[in-house]
Order: sequence, then C-alpha cells, then structure tokens
Amino acid sequence: MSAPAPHLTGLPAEILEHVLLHLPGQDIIKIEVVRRSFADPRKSLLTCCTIQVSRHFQSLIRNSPTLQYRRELFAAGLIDNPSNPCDLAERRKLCEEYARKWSGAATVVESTHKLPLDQYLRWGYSTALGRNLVASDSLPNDGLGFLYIPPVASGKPINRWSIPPFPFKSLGFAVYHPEDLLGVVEQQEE
Amino acid sequence: MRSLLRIHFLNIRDGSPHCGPLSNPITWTSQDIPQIQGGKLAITDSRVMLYFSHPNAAPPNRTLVWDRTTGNLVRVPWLRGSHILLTAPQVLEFPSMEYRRLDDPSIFFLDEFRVVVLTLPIGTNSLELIVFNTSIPQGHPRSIRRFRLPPQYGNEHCSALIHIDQDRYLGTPNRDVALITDPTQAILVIHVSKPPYLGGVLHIVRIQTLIEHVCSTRADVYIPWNEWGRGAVVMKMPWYPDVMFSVYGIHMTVFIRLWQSDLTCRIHNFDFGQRGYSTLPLWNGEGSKAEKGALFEGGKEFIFKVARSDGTFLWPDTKSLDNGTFFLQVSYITNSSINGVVC
Repeated sequence: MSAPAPHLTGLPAEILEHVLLHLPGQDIIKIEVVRRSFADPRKSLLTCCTIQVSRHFQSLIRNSPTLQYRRELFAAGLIDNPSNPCDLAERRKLCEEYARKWSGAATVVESTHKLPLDQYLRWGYSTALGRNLVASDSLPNDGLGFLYIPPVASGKPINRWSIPPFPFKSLGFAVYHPEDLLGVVEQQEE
Repeated sequence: MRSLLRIHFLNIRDGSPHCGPLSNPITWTSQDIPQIQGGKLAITDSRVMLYFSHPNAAPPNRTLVWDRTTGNLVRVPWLRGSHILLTAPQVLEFPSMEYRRLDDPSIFFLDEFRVVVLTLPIGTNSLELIVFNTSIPQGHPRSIRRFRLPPQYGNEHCSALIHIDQDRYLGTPNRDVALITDPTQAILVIHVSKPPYLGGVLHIVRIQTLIEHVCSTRADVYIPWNEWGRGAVVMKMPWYPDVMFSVYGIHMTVFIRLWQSDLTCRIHNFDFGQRGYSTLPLWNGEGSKAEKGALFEGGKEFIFKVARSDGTFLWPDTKSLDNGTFFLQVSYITNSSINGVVC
C-alpha cells in the first residue's frame, strides 16, 4: 500500500505561516477572496481541492496574529519598521488606532500652543512627526531664531534657541525630521 | 557676478552643529548666479537639493543636487535641445517654468535619490512629470523619464502643482516609529487648474508607478499617459475660494475654508490605497481610458471648527505622532499669537 501523496496542507502550521509571511499584504487578502469566489458546490473536483486549501490557509491566517498584522498593515497603507522596539500586540494596536483615526471615527482632542507672533512668523514653519519648528529672521541682533515644539504626547517643553547672524544673506531652510536635521542656506554676492 | 552658496546643517532641538554623516557646511561657488529671489531646499538621507529662482536672469530657475555625505554636486541628467538645459555638468535649469510659485515650485524628492519636476514643455499643450535619478550617471538612458499627462487637462494658461507627502521621504524608515507609510501604495497628486473652468482636475497616481518606469530598461524617455496612467484616478474638483491639500501616504485630505472670518473648514478625506480607492464612487471621465474617474463628493466629509474663532490664517496639515497615530494639525494667527491645534 503506497503512502498518501504529500499535500501542502500537511505541512506544519508554523512552516506555512512562515511561507505566507513572505507574501505581500494584498496576496494574503486575496486568499480570502479566492475562497469566496470558489464557494460554489457546482465547481469541479479541482476547485473543491482549491477550496480545501484556501480554507486551510484562511484558518491559518485567522489564527495567526502575525499574518493578521500583515493584512491590517496593507489595508492601512503602512509597512512595519522592524527597528522599533514595540511588540506585536502594540503594533497591531497602533495600526488599528491609525486606521480608526483616518476613518474619522476618532474623538477630536485639541491642544493649542501660543507663540509670540511678533518674532516667529517672519521666515518659516516646518512640522512633521509631531515635531514643529518655527523660524524667524527678525531677531534684534539679525540672527536667526527658532522655536522647537516637541510632540504633544512627549510632554517635553518648547525649546527656544537662536544662532548668530550668518556673514551673508540667509535664503531659507529645510528640516529633515528623521534626523532632527535643519539645513539653512546663505548666499554671498561679490 | 561671483556668488557663493553655503548650506549649514544644525540640530533642530538646540541649534548645535548636526553630528550626522554629512559634509557641513556644503559650499558652492558660481560665476553666474545673481541674487536668488526664492527657492526651496530639500534633504534626504544622502541628498541635498536646492531649487532657486532669479527672475531677472535667463534661465530663471535652477536646481542643484549634492551628495550629502561628501558635499559634492552629483551628476544629474540632461536633455540636449529641450527646455531642460544643463550648462554646467551638474546644474539643471528650467527656463520655461515662469508660472510656478516660488514657495511651491513642484519639485520634490520621490524617494532617496529620485527627483520629480512638473513642467509644461515649450510648444506643447501637455503637462509632464520629469523624474531623474541622481544616483545614475548623467546621460545614462535609465536616469531620466518624462511622463506625459493627458493633453486635455493642460495648456499654456493652466497652473499646476504637485502635492506630495514631503515629511516622510519614501524609502527612508523613520527611526522611532513602529509604522511607516507603504512606499508601494503612496500617492502623488497633480492639481491642474485650467481656465475657463473655475475648478481643478486632480490626477492621483502611485509613486511606485513612476519609480518602476524609471527603473525599467526601456530606451524611450517619453512615457505616454495611456501607458503609465493606467490605474490612476482623475477627479474633477469644484472651485473654492480657499482650498488646501495635504497628502499623507495613501491619503489625500482637502481642506476647504468655509468662511473667511473664522476657522471652520470642510474636510474631505480620500483613501487611495489599493483597497481604499476601489470604494470611491467612480464616474466615466471624459479623458483617456487609462485612468479611473472618481467623484470628489466620494471622500469622507466632516466639518472641523477650531474652538477659537478669531483666527486670521490657517495652516492645515496631516501628521503622525511618534506612536504612529494620526492627527490633523491646524495653525492660525490671532491678534497676538500663533496657535497650533492638534486634533
């Protein structure tokens, strides 16, 4: 008596999960769609096998928090940052919160910062990732003034700092927030 | 006239010199740059780009791109005999872009190395996006692609702008957040206003589409809309006196100021992710068959009113906190202060 032919569904769940984790998020979603589209009893034997495999995979996805997370990330238009120390449960919660807030269902919470208008609206403003930088080129000593406003959630205070005037005319600035980097351009004419 | 440009790099928290792997400051000297009137500076992990204008000179607009680590100008592509000129080996000039606003010149980094420019070539009625890859040597056929937009939406009287997520350059994971915008789904919005139609037409395209064409080995520099616009969404937008855009990943948010006297605005929020845009109500657009037409009314709509109503100016933006959650940020001026509202 010959042994039964090996079948994909016979592999351990851990291995299948590992394989599925290499799929893009939309393919994980497609597995569910395939199952629904083939859920017709008049389909062929081959289709029935497909249903069986799809059901197996769907069950695997449903019971795997990691695969669920992959699917949720895709639906929210996000990818994971593996260098962040958050665990899986925290990441899923963040993803859920992110999607919920974009859907407009979130409660509005307001936080207001008051800044001195006379000094800090003359040059520019940059904000990203909850960090804000307001710049002024109208300080009394002709230097450049900056207000660094950290994320509201951080609870840290606003920091006001300035740099001495450049030798030449200051043209503008840009902020690269991932590195807390401020670039300032000056021009000299001769 | 000899001119010297210097770019200093500081830490935004306290103004100290930045300690990252970069040449600090970057210095550039030229014999033919008069006083700069306006421009834009953009930074990625490895590139620094300075776009600037000097209206009394010809050509009026130029772009310089440096390698941030060495301070050297990188070689950028050029097209001989076109409206894009390269007089010195590393200087990209745009003589035909007078219609641009100085504060929003529609030139951005698409990712770490690729720059996108929106332009209307001389003698044509078709807007186009030019994407050049600053990591590929000048003259290499893969270093530049020109993506034509449908001609019915552009002519010499139109004005056009790009809206893109400027704060999170794609492909550069932020070091302190758990969730990052998916670069394969992120969008770029081209906003075209064309008289006499007092409204706008929005073209929403996936940035990945532009990048994939630039990476391809095809020889053609010109990519017709029917080829690259497949899957794009075109949306007609009614005219509003005061409207602002914000793009974040797969989302486009349109802020419509309802009354000039206070800070009430109507917000339309659209999801153009691969799953989200399929839920938008579609219309059969009058343009190319390549794109889908979506109804502007299809976005999620809500009214936002700042608690204080005596503001006189509004900066809306859509941002992410360090914990990965989303918020709207609105900044406005009252008689005595700037106020930022985080929602």
